[in-house]
Amino acid sequence: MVTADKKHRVVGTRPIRHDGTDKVTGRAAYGADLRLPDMLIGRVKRSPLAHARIKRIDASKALALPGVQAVITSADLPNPADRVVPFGEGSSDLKDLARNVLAADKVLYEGHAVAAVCATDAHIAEDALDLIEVEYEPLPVVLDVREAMLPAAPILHDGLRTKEVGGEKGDQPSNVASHLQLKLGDTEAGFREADLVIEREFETKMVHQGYVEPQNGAAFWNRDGRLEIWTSTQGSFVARDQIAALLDLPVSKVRVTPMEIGGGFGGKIPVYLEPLAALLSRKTGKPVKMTMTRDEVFRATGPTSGTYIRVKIGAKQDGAIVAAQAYLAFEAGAFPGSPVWAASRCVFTAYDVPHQLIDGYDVVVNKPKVAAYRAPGAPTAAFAAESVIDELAQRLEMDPLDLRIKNAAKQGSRRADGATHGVIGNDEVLLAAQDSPHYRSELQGENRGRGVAHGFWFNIGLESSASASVNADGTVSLVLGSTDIGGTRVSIAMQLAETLGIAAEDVAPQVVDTDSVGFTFVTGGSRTAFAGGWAAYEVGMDLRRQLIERAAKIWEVQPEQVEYADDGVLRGPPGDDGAPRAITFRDLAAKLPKTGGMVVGRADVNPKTSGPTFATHIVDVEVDPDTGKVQILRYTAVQDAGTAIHPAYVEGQMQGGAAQGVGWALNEEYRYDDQGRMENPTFLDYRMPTALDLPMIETIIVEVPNPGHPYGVRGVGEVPIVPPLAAVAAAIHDATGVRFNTLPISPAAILDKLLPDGD
Amino acid sequence: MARVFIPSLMRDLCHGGSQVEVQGDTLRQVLDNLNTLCPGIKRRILEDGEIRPEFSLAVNGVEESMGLLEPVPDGAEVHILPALSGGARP
Repeated sequence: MVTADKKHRVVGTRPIRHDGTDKVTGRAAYGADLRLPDMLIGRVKRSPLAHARIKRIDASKALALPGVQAVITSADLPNPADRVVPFGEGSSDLKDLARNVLAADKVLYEGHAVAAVCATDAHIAEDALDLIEVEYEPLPVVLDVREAMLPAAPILHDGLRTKEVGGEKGDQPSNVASHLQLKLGDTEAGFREADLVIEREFETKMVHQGYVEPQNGAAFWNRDGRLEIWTSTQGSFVARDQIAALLDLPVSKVRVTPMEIGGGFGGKIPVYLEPLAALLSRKTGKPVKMTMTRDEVFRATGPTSGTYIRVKIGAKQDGAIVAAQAYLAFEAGAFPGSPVWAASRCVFTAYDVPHQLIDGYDVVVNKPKVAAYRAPGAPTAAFAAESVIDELAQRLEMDPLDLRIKNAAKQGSRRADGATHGVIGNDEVLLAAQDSPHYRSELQGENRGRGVAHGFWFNIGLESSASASVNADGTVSLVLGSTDIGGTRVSIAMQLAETLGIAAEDVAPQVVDTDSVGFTFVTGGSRTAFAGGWAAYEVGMDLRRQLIERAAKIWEVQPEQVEYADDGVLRGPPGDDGAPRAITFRDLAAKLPKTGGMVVGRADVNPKTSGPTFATHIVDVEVDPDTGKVQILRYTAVQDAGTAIHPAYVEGQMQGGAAQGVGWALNEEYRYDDQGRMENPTFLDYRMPTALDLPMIETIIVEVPNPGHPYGVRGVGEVPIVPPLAAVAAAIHDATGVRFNTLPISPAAILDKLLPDGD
Repeated sequence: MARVFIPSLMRDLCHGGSQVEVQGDTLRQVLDNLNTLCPGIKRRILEDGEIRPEFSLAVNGVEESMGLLEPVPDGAEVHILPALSGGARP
């Protein structure tokens, strides 16, 4: 369904991405490819225990090993201030960030960094790790979110008190870092009005983003006090700010060069290795490069929360939802900062529900500190809410999409956080799903079922900068601060090309370091094509103004007499011969050198708007009753993109989110033993879907333009991971008649419910 | 006059009210005036004169980008939202 007014020349087309050749030929430079003169290799000594006090660290034997150049511990980090550092889709207390980078008095999860070493090669550095002696005093471990909330649970942080968000702090040590409550209307009265009330409990496990490229970072601390960083990051400026804060440096002393990035999904916003490489470089005077193994990525970076969620929804016999209540407890990992607040704000936001009560709890456990993961918090919240809505539809004998359409939030609907929806494409997405060939098709066959689910994500705006210079050959060099994930170079370049009326191929985008472009927030939050594109639009408008002035100068007329048309042709009043004056962008560019010089456009934008979006997914499955294996037979993702700048990359985001969600639903989980040791830190044992597990995911792009953007863009990258968990669970219920309220719905979990006891 | 929506855990300061109408052309003025009606509420929202990192203030549903300098039109709704980045220990 396309509701946008299609008047664009470049926007909505599918040009080949500018970095495509480098990516497919292997020439693109990733962090691990970096080679610098005299470069040393660093490795991290990690805790084998999930909770322990550090009694002693002795690096003398490691330092005596030939080739070892330096060892650092937390004593080498400046004493961190107790303040919050915002970074993209998360934020962290600086002290927590420092303690996560290098443990101080305690280790709080298996894999927690306790020391780092650098040597002349990786083998020596690896050998040196075994020579660093660490004496621990083991402490009791708590791994489960509900157990961690019990008064008798082992306490991770003696100084942590529960913060009532908007209220006061507790006075007793607790693993509950914060409690948030959202309240709309009167839920008790609402439930009294309901003809049917369903309340269910849900559990999900900690899962990882599973990006292909492990974390890496290289540093060179120059003798003039300037620090150079090369890293795989979703936000070079946010990385710079974290590194500067951790090392107590002015940001002007730190330059971060973002390398190409092999996936992030939110997990490459926090820093892990970069400050260690910096400290090792300062000690040795040489550049130091560090790269994680897959094992380290699993154990010691930021997955997303395991959760316990309870949802209660009441509806009238006609399907009108009158009240909804949710209790959400999210594992934050070792330090506070789970996405439970976002989950709380999302859980019922797709629906117009007059009475809502939502309580969210952020809870520390002895697992790695979580990081953002694609629509942080929303997928598990939707798993719970959408599963109850599916059951409501079943009990009310309503079509599950009819029930959702009846209750869909609209412009002006009030959300649980009190704010109201603006222009949204909620109805349009649901109706497009209902009208899709997939939903209208009949599913036949034994052990097969169909499920649907719906999801919401806010998207964010925030600051982006860009500049562009016009070249005499009619091309434009575009300078960006957003690291390219999912084709953001081309989607931003296309918006500049659209503004200038030139071809996308005539814009050459490049992602540069933090000294070469203005502040730009992370590639995440579903903001980059939105805010980066807006910056490109403003750059284009700046260039148009300058080119109008130049044409006016050449024609010896006033700028007000010159028009810059959307086809990239500048037109002026008739000349002395009476013929209309006109010049193309390319021809004018050729005249620039001899009419005053080249022109450069610049922009820094900080949009207040963002463009929330919705997605509905439809999935058909077949469940093997003998093995418990779930085969995805057909999958359709429907989503509002506002305006799809490059439809192929919008489709790619929709398919990628769906694929990750299917893995989350069916197989993925962090498995721990009772001492907090992860049992499956490899891609063989941590089972993500491959191309063999999934059919081609069909996509339907709905376009309800965002009035808060020059081209109507809404973020597209995050919402497609919101519906799959519940959609797959609903399909399995349809196939088996059994509801699964715990993820993953693995073959073992299915057999456990399908087989008679003892089989 | 702006209508401020009070989060549930702050309503104890506003005599249980969920909405309060106050004067103010900027968020700073709105919060100053709100504090006279709901004593102590400013301390829960601000820290060192700035909006606490756990909150985001929205005017007519649009989250501020100018902090307390954000203009508040007459008749606007002001919401005290939990920050999306949420959960960090303040």
